[in-house]
Amino acid sequence: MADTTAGTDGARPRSRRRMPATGKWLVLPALLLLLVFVLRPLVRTVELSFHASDIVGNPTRFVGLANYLDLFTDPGFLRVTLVTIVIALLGTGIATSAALGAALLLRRHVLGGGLFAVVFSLPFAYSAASASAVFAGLFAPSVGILNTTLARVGIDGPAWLSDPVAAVWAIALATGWYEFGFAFLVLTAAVRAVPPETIEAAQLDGAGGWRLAARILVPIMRPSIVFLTVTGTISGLQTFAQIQVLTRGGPGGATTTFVFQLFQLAFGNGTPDFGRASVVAVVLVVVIAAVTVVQFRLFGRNDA
Amino acid sequence: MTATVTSRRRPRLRAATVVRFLVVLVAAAVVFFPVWTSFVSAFLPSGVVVRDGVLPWPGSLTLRNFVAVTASVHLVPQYLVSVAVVTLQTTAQVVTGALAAYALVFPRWRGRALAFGLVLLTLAVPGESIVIPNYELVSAIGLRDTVLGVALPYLAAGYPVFLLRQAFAAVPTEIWEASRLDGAGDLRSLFAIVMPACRPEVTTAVIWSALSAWNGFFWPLLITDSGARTVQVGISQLAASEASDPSVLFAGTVLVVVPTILLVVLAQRLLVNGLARGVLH
Amino acid sequence: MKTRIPLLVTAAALLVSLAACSSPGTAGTGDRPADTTGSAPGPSALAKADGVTDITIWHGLGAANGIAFQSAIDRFNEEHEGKIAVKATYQGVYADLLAKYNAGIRSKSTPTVLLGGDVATGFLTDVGQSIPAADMAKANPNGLQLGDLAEQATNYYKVDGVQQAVPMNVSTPMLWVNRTILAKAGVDTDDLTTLDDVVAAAKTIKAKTGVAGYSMQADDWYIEQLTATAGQDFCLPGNGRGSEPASSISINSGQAKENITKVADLYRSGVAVDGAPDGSAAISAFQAGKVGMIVMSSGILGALKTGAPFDYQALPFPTSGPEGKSGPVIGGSGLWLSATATPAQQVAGWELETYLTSPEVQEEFSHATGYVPINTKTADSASQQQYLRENPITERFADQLAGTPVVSAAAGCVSGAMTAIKAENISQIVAAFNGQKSVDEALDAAAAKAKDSFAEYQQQLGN
Repeated sequence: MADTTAGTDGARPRSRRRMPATGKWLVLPALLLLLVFVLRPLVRTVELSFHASDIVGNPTRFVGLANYLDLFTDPGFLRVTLVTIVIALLGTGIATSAALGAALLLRRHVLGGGLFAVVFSLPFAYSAASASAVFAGLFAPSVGILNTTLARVGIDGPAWLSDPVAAVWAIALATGWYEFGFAFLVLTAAVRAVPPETIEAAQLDGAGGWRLAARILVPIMRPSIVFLTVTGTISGLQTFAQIQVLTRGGPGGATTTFVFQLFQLAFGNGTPDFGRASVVAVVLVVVIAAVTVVQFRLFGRNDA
Repeated sequence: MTATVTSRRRPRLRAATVVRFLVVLVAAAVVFFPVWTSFVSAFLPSGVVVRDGVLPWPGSLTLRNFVAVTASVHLVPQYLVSVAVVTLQTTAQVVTGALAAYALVFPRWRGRALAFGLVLLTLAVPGESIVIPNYELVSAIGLRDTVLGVALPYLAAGYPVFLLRQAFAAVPTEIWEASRLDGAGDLRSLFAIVMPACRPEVTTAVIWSALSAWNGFFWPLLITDSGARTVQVGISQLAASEASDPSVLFAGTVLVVVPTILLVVLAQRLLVNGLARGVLH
Repeated sequence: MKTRIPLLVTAAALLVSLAACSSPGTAGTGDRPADTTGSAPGPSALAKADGVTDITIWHGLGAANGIAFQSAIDRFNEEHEGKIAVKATYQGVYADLLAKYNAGIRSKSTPTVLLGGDVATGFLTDVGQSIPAADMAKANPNGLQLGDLAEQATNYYKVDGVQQAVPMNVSTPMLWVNRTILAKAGVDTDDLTTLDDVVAAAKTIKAKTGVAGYSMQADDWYIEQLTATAGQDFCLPGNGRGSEPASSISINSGQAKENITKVADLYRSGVAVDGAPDGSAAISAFQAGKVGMIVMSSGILGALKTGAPFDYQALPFPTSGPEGKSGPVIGGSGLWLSATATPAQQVAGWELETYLTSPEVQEEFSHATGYVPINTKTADSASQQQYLRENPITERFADQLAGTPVVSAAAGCVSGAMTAIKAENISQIVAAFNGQKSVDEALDAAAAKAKDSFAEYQQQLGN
């Protein structure tokens, strides 16, 4: 049974010896768990999306695409889509670019470099929920500590949670802050892994500070940057905790993301509408799949 | 020529060094500001930081906020639950992931591509989309409000499988074949040979699993009442209920975050080294 | 070949069978129990039970209120040791509590007693999972006497003439003022009776002292107050309390609209500051001396007492409607008894409700929180009279409650769609406060959306 084709999925060419075929069953634990807890619920969610629901959330009669039409013709839905994408990109963008800057700045020895590295890693200790709790105190209207501190130096801070645009920034900043920690760790590792010879060669060629960073370091760090961008965007599209704690979707729906709307429809409005909530869930899956495909196409596989 | 290059470099270097230091200092201050504010506010009565600013007089420090937190939120049991959930989920995800990755790389069998495709598909399915059916299932089994119930839907995850598969695929065949020729079974090969060869990726998988388990919010919020409440849910409920007393809320976040901060401070080097080769190739 | 088919078949079979498998609660598996009027159990059900009857109660009381509640529960357990054991669980704020309760209905694991938020009254009535309080009172004549409870409070939980639930913690909205700031601005507290008075005073405060003149929690409860104190039913017809369910709201017309517009103008002109959806900013600003007057629930008394001391006073909510036909709506939550618990548990739960609404417990609970005692006999005790003398602010709470006429407007709106409508309303109105749209636009949009919400709710009900 020798099979010597080199598979395109990275398989090994089979040796000439025949191995007992037990190895493949090792896939079962993970596969079964994923089938039961991810794929089967996905099917059920799609099923729920085609039904109306009663006031307790049980599916009732089959309504075909009515729920979908309902949602797509709701002008607010386009806004939700936009808000979700903007928050995802902003949060990830802030975290990754700031972390990149910090990692590059600390590459060369700085006075107190170790301490700074620890400070930059601190946000990693916070989860979305605890970071949001802290930022709630910073952004609170009238008495938010951020604005009162800014006021002391003469800056008039925006109404973080009451102004629609500022609220989006508030969510993005809170997200960017706590994701910054992980991004900084990853990018510091990436910077340290750049071979010193490469750097020296570039420096001998006259590349200093900016040029060195932009032309040499960043391209070598690309896989890490791509990794952070892709995972950050995917989790950003699912932003929920920050919105639950900081803005509850407001003001006026300005920070309502897919997952928040899902939560509202399914659990927040008092009378669960699992039919409509499931529509949002399905749309979310499609969007994330699309974004993932697009990012892989744009940046190439991150294992290149 | 080298002499002139270096001597021309030195004065530029000094100015650049100072500028760099200042930029880093400001950046660190910005990043540190939320941490500092929450810690300071936790030790002061409400309103003081608003009135007197973030560099307050030590005289009015108090522990009353912490007392209030522990009275209204049972942080210790919640912390223990969170740790239990993280341990359970991480171990399960990495183990099932490693087993699956092994099966998807080394033995060749029909249907392997389909299995991998199914795993990839799960990467695109966010947890919140499938919460409702999972809630029905876990409740039906009777695992509502238990640690196992919180962890059960996440005992396997697509990302660790994906990551480890990429890692295993990069392991030279000879190593694996050699161990098999020596008579080692699949499990021995996996745990004694292949995984040690992929330590950085395994580290990344562990960190990813632990982090997502620790950060879990939506699902634990739904599936638990008070018995198996995790610390993330506890802190958000504190945020909701302590509306009138922001200092107590800050005290709560401090209590929640101190252990992980200690972890980060002590293990920062370790984390960086572990990640160093994990995501790069 | 050999290995492929089994795997494919396994996968396919698993998917198909699990998807087709009807999970608990699919249509028609009887989530709605049979009508239980007239079949409420009496004391014998509990007396017959062996050993300890375990019951559960879910609530949304956090922080200090939760602590006070838990100590009342603990004492109940002590007094009934060996017979009844109560487990109380804090499920989060009212919205989260309701979400958990819904999930509990679907998985058939609801608590024996639910301390549900006032807004959920319509939903909880319609979902039919509770025994009406009237029935339990009839079957247990020696227990809770509904007549002892303040009518303004029980009225809220009466739907279509039937007492559904028992109010337990009742709050009332007040006008809180910082006397120092008012004195500086030359405003006399005696002059603050009508809404027009308050609006004028807010402007004066801002003009004369530079400090903001007004704030309130950005919650629709206060919009309901502006409607109810204008003598207007919040939702029509009849605030949803008749035989016909509510189908529209009235905030975009009449005196209610005028009231909301006046308050909105305060915000738009910078006289008023945002109080945050949870009221935290209003309270913090009030404590920090950054706002002269706030409209907040009586429940904030605890927070004010524990913060840094300053000279504050609580005044009745400003009026704007005909006397005898208008007044503020109560807040808080009520006790709903599960219809799916065992008879022994139900009677035990009724015992708990009797205990929680008794004069002694209400007295102590009200001291620790800012809630108003709902048992009219509470005021009879010497200790309570002493307390009221020493804490004149709490006396004002009680006076306001007692002085509210028992009319439709002050009873509040009942509908299962209220939760969704409240969220949409305040979202629109805050946009008007911030100047993003005109008040007319906001109110009309809110009314239109509310119509949809009512219709959707009826659809879900009819399914």
